[in-house]
Amino acid sequence: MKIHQLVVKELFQRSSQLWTSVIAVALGIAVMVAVGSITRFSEKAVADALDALGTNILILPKNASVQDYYSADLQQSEMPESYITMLTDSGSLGIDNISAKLSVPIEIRGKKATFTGILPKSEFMATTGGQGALGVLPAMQWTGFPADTAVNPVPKRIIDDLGSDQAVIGSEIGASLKLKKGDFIDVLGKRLRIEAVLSNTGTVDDGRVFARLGTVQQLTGKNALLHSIEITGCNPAALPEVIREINTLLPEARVVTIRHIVGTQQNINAVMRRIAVALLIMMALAGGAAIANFMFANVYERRREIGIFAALGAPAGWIVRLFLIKAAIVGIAGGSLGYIIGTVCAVIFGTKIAGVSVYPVASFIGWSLLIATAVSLVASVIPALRAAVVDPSSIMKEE
Amino acid sequence: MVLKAENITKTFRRRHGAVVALDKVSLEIQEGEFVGVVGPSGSGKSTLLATLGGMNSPDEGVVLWGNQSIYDWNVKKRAQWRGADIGFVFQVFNLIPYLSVYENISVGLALSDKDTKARESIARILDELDLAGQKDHTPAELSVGQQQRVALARALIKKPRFILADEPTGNLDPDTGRGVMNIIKLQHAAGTTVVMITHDRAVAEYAQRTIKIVDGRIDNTV
Repeated sequence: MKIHQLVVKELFQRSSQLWTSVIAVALGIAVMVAVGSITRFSEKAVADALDALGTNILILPKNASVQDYYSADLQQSEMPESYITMLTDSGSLGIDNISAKLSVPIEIRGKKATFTGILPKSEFMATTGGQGALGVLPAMQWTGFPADTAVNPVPKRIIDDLGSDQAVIGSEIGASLKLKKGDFIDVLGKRLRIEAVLSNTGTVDDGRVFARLGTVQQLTGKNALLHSIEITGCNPAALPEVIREINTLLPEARVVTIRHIVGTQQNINAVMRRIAVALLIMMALAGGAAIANFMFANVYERRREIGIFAALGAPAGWIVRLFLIKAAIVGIAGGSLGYIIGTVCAVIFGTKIAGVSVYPVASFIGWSLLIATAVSLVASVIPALRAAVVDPSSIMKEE
Repeated sequence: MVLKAENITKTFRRRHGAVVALDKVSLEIQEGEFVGVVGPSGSGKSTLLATLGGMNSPDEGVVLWGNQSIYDWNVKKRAQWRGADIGFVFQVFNLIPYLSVYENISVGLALSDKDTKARESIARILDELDLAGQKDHTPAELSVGQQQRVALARALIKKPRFILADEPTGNLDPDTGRGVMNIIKLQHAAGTTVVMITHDRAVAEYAQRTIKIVDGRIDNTV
């Protein structure tokens, strides 16, 4: 009979203790994997946003939170729509594209969504009195799809001409409510016809319903108000000067660059990473303590059995191995289970918590197994050494 | 090979003071002998057996295997010696409860470093001790007589030079006890040295010679 067969037999003999230990390890690993996965994809989303947006400028109400904006631009305060005209009138700012948004939380057939008003080109022209050539597509660039490319899932014409009773919906809304082009949805008492369903972007835009800004303003009672203005396509060299001029022009607004927003998210990600490290330490301590406790109890329960093995000729090293193989099995099982639980949680909750789509990270399998097994082995060394010095002559007595 | 104890003393520290279990005990067991060890409860018989078997180092004196002191060996070498040359049989059987009859015997063989042709050896000993029908049973599913036969099989499977038996019939009824003693007797006849502790005069008569222990000393009046 091989030693590993003996270990497996014994493990299943005391299966409740085994599962308690495995779950203790698995939970610690699961939290680490979940936080790690969400952080990784969140960072990727930030990096993608940075790549796509370059040196854009964001104008928010003075007291709006950048983080709120970044997650779903649902801040509490608004600013006047006249800011758009002021910006386009200024002329000398070097502004190529301006996009305004107003967003409110809504429910469609019980599904939570964000109702976002954008300025289609036709309305933009009316708002600015025909000044400013491009006013809409930047918003859609911000939402994740390019304005005028062959792969654009929403033809530019639709965005240009979005009517007051028309909407474009994000992929998640479309999929969960089984909506397609030509269907109708009721939003805040108004029936809107769906002109397009966007493809998946992995961002909060998947949960949006886009409509004409004027429509959203009217339905929410926020007439001539905005939540944000995005300015894209600025010359990087001119950016500091542009920001200075906007600050002068709109002293009541808050002017930030996308880099600033991305930086905020990166700071949050850094905090998440530190939390993951803290969780790792706590997991190592808590999981290790649970395993050590299990192993000490196991050695105590099995001291007669250990004595029998010693009497039969088992050297101390064999007895240590008996416990360390068991610890390794607990570590591998806990690490595997933890990876699965953590990944499933990250995939399910990633969109809700961080607003990003999360997928399994293959490299975390190795780390999960390595960390769980190492913790389990380290925690079991002292109990195993204690087992190795059990007095074999104790088995001569009846219990 | 001779197993020899020279002036071995063993004292246990207890809450109410020291208890001298063995007091300058000397004895010599020649290979091929069948030695019975008798004496009242608490006289030191089991301590003597554990000390002779390399499981309990004496405070004083030496235990010699041939001309080597077994307690001068390191723990690993002593364990290997036990595994290879000494077969223990206990009053309380000491089987591993979650292993089958086959696996209990297999563990004895695996720890002896004589793990060759294990399957055939185990099958043969199961037949010899009339346990073939119970090979997949756990100890809890066996009668006490069958359990002691499994313990004997575990000790004998590795073909030890010495069998150290601590009251092997102590928990058995007389008929079952006789069956177990017949196995030990056959094993002795096949050349294995036997040192056996017993309370039972009838069982002691299986031995070629008897040593009596009283208060940790050998009583030479026997």
